[in-house]
Amino acid sequence: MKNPARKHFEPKLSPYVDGELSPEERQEVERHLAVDKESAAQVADFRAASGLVRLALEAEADKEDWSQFANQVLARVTPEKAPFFERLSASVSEFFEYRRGTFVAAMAGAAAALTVAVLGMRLLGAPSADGYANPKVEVQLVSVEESSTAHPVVLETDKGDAIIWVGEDEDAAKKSGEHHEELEIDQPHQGEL
Amino acid sequence: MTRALALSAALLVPLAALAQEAVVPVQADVVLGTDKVAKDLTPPMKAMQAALAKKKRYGTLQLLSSQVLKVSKKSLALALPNQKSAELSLESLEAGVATVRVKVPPADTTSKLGAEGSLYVHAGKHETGDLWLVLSRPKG
Amino acid sequence: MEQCAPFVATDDLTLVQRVRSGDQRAFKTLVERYQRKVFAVALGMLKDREDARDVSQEAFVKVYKYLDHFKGDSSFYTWLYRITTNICIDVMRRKGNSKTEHVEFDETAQLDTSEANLGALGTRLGTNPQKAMLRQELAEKIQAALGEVPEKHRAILLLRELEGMSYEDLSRTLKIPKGTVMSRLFHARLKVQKILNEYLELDESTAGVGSE
Repeated sequence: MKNPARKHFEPKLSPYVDGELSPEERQEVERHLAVDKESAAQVADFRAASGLVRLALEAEADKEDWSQFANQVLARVTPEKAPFFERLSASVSEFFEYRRGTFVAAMAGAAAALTVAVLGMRLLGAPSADGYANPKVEVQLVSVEESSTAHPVVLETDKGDAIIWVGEDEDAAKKSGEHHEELEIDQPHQGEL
Repeated sequence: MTRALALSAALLVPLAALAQEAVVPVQADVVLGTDKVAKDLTPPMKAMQAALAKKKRYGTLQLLSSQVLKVSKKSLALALPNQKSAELSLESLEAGVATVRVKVPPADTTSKLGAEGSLYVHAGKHETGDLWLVLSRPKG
Repeated sequence: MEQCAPFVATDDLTLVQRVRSGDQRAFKTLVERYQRKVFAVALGMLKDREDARDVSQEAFVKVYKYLDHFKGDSSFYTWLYRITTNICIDVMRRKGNSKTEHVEFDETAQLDTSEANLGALGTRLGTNPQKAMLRQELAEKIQAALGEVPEKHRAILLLRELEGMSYEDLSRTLKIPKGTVMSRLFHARLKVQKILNEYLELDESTAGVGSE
């Protein structure tokens, strides 16, 4: 059997946890919680469970692969508006299959040639096309602003990644006279510094 | 028809090369790393977690935004969710190797891009975690 | 200096205006901003990942289609979540898989917590949900517990817990009085709390939750 005070305050416990009470109501509830162990326990339970729901579902959402989701939505809302270069990248055979008129064929020929040229540069080993001829990322230089106490660290992975970490460092702060911090490299560094 | 195609191609190759001369497409992802424990991360986030583990092991890596930028000599500003701004510019494009300058205050970095690797640039704190700017070759 | 589209700094309403003027990238930004949250709401409602993903896509397609109907008197996400929860409810009814669909609480009924093991949850989980989340079973149990909550109450709980929506926003989003929001939220929480308590009691013999 609930005591009358608890019965009165119980509906306010959930809004209390949510911060939805007026300052006066909040104070009333707090006075009640100080003397009613059951209500205090109820509040503790609400607080414990609060956030679990969010964390559980957000963790589930993080498991999904979102890389193509927005594009899939866009494809549904604007099917007729494929980006120009996407259309251009369509295979040459497809291109001709859909465009048979003389004038259209001539235009298609020019466009297809451009496609061939672009694809050729990409596929036939013309690395200058996109700037990624290097297999690995190589950090050349890292500096920090004169006023900053940040201490940059550069790391490299076996897979060709480079990591530039710019953390505040107390030691660096002490060395306030030194500007343009030197690189600290945890692994042999291949780039020129 | 074939001849016309060859001619068009011959005419257009230098044009295409010229157009691409000073512009490098870069996949720019903004990722938030926190200690919050996520049971399963997506494969790209898992790869990032493994790469960053050398410095810090994050419980969760959350992809906040992703887009392909066309980086050229002209500086490109990228607003980050922590009120900072990253500036990207192309320093050089020589023998197919792009050298890109990335400024995320207080750091100013210059790196050569790589086909297989990603460049992870720590972009400061955000909410309860660290913000990362991840640059890599666009997929597909 | 060339300025490219900011990631998060641009507010929703500005993006909505850009979409209206035909800017597809603005719409993509909105989708990317809310895709996970919309999915989380849908998953909480439907419990099925594929359904949740389909609903998320459908919600954004509807948003795009009816963008001209968005008056801007509520926030964009409030409108987006209203669309999402409505689609979820439609899906549940269509599939007829909502066991609790017809179980409606009497809003005026006296709240009964006499069976609840008060304080047990707080004691066992503490206030650090992240620590407790180390237990995958608990996450699964939470989803199962949500499935036991009547759909209308579930929608409120999800929007509150996932988005931290105020009672005022909940009232506007779900078009119900604030008092009903309060009552439904309380019932939903009691239900989840009760199921979690049962789980924790069962689990007691093996290992303490959050003891890692």
